[in-house]
Amino acid sequence: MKHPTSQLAGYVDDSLEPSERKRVEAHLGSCRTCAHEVEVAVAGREALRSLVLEDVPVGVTSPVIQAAATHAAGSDAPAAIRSSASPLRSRYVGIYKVMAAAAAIAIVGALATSLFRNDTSQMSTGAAEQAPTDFMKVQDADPGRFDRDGNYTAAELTAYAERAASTFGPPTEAAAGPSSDQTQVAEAPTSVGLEGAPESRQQKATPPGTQPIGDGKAFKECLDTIGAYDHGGKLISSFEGLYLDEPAYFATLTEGPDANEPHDRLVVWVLGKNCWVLAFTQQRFPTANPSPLPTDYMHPVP
Amino acid sequence: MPTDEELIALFRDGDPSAFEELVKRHEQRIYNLCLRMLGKPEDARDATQETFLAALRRLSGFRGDSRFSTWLHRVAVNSCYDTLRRRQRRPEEALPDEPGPAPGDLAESAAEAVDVRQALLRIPEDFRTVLILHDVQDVGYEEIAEILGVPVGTVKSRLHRGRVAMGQLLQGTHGPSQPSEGKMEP
Repeated sequence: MKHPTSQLAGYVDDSLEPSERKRVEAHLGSCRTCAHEVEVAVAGREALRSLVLEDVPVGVTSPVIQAAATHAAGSDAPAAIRSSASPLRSRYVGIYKVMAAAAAIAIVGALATSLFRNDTSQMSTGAAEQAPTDFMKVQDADPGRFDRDGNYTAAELTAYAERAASTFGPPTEAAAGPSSDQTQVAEAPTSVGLEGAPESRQQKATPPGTQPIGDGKAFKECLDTIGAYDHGGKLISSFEGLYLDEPAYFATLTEGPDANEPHDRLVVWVLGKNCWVLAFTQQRFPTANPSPLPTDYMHPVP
Repeated sequence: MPTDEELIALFRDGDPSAFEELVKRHEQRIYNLCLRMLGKPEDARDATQETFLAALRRLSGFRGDSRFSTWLHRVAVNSCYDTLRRRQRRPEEALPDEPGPAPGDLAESAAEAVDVRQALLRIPEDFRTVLILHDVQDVGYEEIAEILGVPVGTVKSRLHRGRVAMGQLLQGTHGPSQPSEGKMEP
């Protein structure tokens, strides 16, 4: 006997056509297995329908909504990314940190082609206005790398991205990043995982930027999970450090305005435990003559 | 009331409140889908935020070849599956195993109200998704088929098998073992 399994759901839902319903009822009259299944399925359905929808906890979607608002206000104000990021140090913890990333993402998503019509100096001035007092320390860092012993702020991240983008310049190939000798993609499965907060600070002897991050595989999966490769991203370098006192992975990628388009920008993702996005920033490669940034970029505006 | 697609168009034209409206319209269903799939509120929060971040990042690429809500649910389901796969790789993140009723206690445990939510978490995930979408959230068969990328007939048979498994778990007639994937294959 062929059991009408796929029709039994509709029978329980009372959504069958009358003719189908008659056929199923005839079958149920002669098949105790199916009749019993229907009885149990009705109980299962009723239990499931008793589940009430729970409210969304505060703070889950609000950062994303604020990011969208930033986008609307920010079409002529690219520094909005940083202004939303800078209060993080003192005022926000946990999930609110995603605001910085979300603000940037809003602009990536909605203004992918227009964001970088503004020239780089305008953007950097915006960052300087938001700069905290310890902003200067990044000035001495290798512009291609963060000092892994550092504890970084949103403004420093921006400064890093600006310097790195200007140092690397545009990629030489259409869809490729800088040359492979700068690639420091983590592969080594050493001990420091996403939870391994203080350990990264104990590895001072290692030259900055050369130590593979702890759980490189998990980290790369995080990048995939958050959509970091959606725009054709290519991982250039990564390391482990601190961001606003939290252990974090820093990843530098190049990407295009969309997948399969020539890479025209450098992006930096900062991820905390559980793939949480702590920060995001991006810089377009200079279109002509990449020259070093003037040092007065690095001074906070009085 | 504007459709989702009209709101997307408004947002692309620079109206941020349109995106807020989209989020407000869908966040509760997405959060509850993730909560029932994953069991842990903190995982559900992450998966929900990931879903809307993805929406924001990819809205410019949304081509309207499926309904926005369908697409959004697909992103959320995939995000939940990712979380479940991560748990499999890192067993310390798995949910504490709820003990099933001991064989001798079947009559007693059947009389107890077994938590529906815990029972649901014991249903294999492909079936659980269909149960949540249809019986908890009232999504139609066709839309579920589109969200999951499976034939409608598969949705219906997973729904039936899942309901039977739920009923058995709640009535304590299924014994302590989880219904096997093989047995529940549509």
